[in-house]
Amino acid sequence: MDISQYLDSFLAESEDNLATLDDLCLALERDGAHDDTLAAMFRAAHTLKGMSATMGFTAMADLTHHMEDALGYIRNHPSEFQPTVVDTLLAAIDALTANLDQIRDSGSEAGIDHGPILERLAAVISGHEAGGGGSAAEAGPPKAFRDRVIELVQSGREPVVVEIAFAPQCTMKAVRLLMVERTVESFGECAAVFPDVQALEADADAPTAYVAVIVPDEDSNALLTAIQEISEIAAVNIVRLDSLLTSTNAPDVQQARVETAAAVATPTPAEEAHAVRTAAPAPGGKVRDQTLRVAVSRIDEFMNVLSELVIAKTRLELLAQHGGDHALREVTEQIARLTTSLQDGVMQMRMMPVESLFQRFPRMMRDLQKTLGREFEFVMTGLETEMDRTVMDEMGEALVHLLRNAADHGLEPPEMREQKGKPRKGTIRLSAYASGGHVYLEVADDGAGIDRDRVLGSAVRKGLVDERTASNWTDAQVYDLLFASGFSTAEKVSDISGRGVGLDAVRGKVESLGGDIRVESVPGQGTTFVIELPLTLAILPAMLVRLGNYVYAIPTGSVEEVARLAAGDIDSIQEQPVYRYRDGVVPIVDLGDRFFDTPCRGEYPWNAVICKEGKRRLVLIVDDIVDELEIVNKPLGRYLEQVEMFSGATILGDGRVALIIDVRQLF
Amino acid sequence: MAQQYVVMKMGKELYGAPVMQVVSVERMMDITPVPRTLPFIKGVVNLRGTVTPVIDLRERVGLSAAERLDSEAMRIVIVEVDTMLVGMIVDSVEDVVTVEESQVSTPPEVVGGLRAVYLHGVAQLGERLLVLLNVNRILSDVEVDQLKEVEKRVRG
Repeated sequence: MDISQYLDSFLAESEDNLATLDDLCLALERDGAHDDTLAAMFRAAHTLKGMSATMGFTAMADLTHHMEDALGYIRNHPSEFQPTVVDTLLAAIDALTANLDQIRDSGSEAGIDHGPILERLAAVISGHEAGGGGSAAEAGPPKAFRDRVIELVQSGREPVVVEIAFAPQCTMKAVRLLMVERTVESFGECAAVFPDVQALEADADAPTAYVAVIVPDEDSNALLTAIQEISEIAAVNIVRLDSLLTSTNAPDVQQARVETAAAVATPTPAEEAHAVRTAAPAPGGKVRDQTLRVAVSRIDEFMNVLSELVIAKTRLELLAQHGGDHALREVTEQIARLTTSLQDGVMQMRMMPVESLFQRFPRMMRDLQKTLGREFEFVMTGLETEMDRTVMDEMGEALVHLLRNAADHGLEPPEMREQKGKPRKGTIRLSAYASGGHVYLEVADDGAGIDRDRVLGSAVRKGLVDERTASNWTDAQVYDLLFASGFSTAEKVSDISGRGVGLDAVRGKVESLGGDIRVESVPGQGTTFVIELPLTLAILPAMLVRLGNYVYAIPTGSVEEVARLAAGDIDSIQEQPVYRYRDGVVPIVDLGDRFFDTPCRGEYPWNAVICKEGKRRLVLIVDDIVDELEIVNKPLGRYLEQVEMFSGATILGDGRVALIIDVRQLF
Repeated sequence: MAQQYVVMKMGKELYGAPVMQVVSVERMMDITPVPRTLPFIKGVVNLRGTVTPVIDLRERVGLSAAERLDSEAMRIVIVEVDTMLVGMIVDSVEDVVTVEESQVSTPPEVVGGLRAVYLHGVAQLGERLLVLLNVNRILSDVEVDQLKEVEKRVRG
């Protein structure tokens, strides 16, 4: 079977299931071993196992299988649950995530070894079970096998369980076991085998094997004889079901056995897997909308066709106006309306709830508490807020940085909090909300706040600002220093933050997405970072300028003002032209010169666009300023990814391509 | 194993691009130049709504672009490499031919200005030679070229 066509959906669904498991692990730690939680985890693990096995990813299937066993064990022995188990489960999830990543990258599982984590998972079961001594494991078949037998008993199909002892000299046990299976199959249905043939091949030490057979009572003796006849098998015994079932402490099973008639149908694996997808309650107890997974690239393609349609529509409108045919005009108007709603619809499709970005943070924050020795509640709000998929993907790293910052530098250590009369446990809040064409992301802590004097002191020492000018700065101006490159006040550089990627990188990322970041802080009460982002990157307002025969777009976000410069406005510093603007001078860049070595500067006045980027300004000289409108941002593609001066391109009304200038690259 | 090739003409020479990699053949269209890129990168075009880079295959394979007479026959051959679309300007597109692998011989070290690594091989096509391009290499080594270009500009 060619499975490659299913790979994408396998990857996506597995990711979902792993995320679910991650969440549930945290719930397990928080709320203890609730059966609901464990049941949901069991289902997710089961689905993962089924899918990975179908796809032929055996390492993953094997690990999920053992995870399922461990979960099953905890579920049956909730009283023995210990929080350390969560660490083991999380480690298993990490291993599965790494496994999945490799599958995504290379398409294979080559070289993956889950050995250590499998041992830890095994310890979850045996750590309890073998507590009374190693003999328990040897006394009978393992739990998975027994569970299967119990399942059969519950469904009213009582199996015959046969214990097979291999002869000590038997070298090819797997082959013998295979022969046993064959023999069994000629009598009845082979419902369960332990160990399975592959496991036996790997571990030739197993002295005994077990098979559960659905076979009419009267045939069982003949079956035994037949198995006995296979060479290198030392002994064959029927295991009494009673002993098998009492060794699992499941009195309800005994009960069930008595009341076989009232058999409760155990869901088949397929049904279970199905149930996960349709009936699993979404976090928060809401029912999810029916969804369809579509690759972003497909939506982009659709968007491309749509923008062509918009261009054709514009031409049609022109024709209709000149033609003067009433009916034609009416149809054209209708088409224009439909096109607009199509466009809105596609834009809507690119939006996703921030939940998909946020879902990995609770786990990260949990780990941070342990590594940093901080204690805090992590609260997330506004999970349903929607934003452009592309913007969201880009924001992940920046948020990680801010969250780590809040935990490491924002919050005080628990003892210090107590000294200050604050609750020992701090709070870190991550919220999202939309307002007026923008999406806001906030990371807030209730820590010590920003120490103005320390920030200033550090900035002065680093030569970022001189003491006298800074003394009458507002708080906002001082806080702004945090974003300056080369600034870090962290007293100790930890593994978590203070490692080069500073707040300046966060600001750079946010600004490259056309957004803005600011910080608010109250001493003693906490610090809040607010990120403002455009709802979408796909459509942005831009100013169109002309250079020679070509039109270029400058994002309006980068434009401060448009001006016509007269000779008197221009000075020169070291032979470079500068423009006196407000209280300073701004360097002048002739775009024609910069792009084609053919200057636009001719007769005065010059057409100038004054651009700003953070605190810096730049005057761009162009031939002409054409228009200001909303443009559709299209990537230049991988072939031109080395090109830095242009962040993308757009298609103009006449079908020609205009490049979008990345002003930051011109400084 | 027989492979089909789109035969592209440049000057008097014939070049082949694997049919499997050719997405479409377009008439010349408005090209928007992308400043400060390699000389053979001519710019970007609007290919039914997708912004697609276009290179001059003549310059890429080391033929002089000056010798070309602009004509109605000029075409942009759009090829796809690893989901990346790139257009190649050629003098004209002749035909699609089937070439048996056994007909393909290893190219000499340098054909025109093009080193052998950019070629799949050379095949006899009747009286004439068909130079089979390794499109992947031609389009993927651009970064290396770009670096060299920068180096040249810096060092003079």
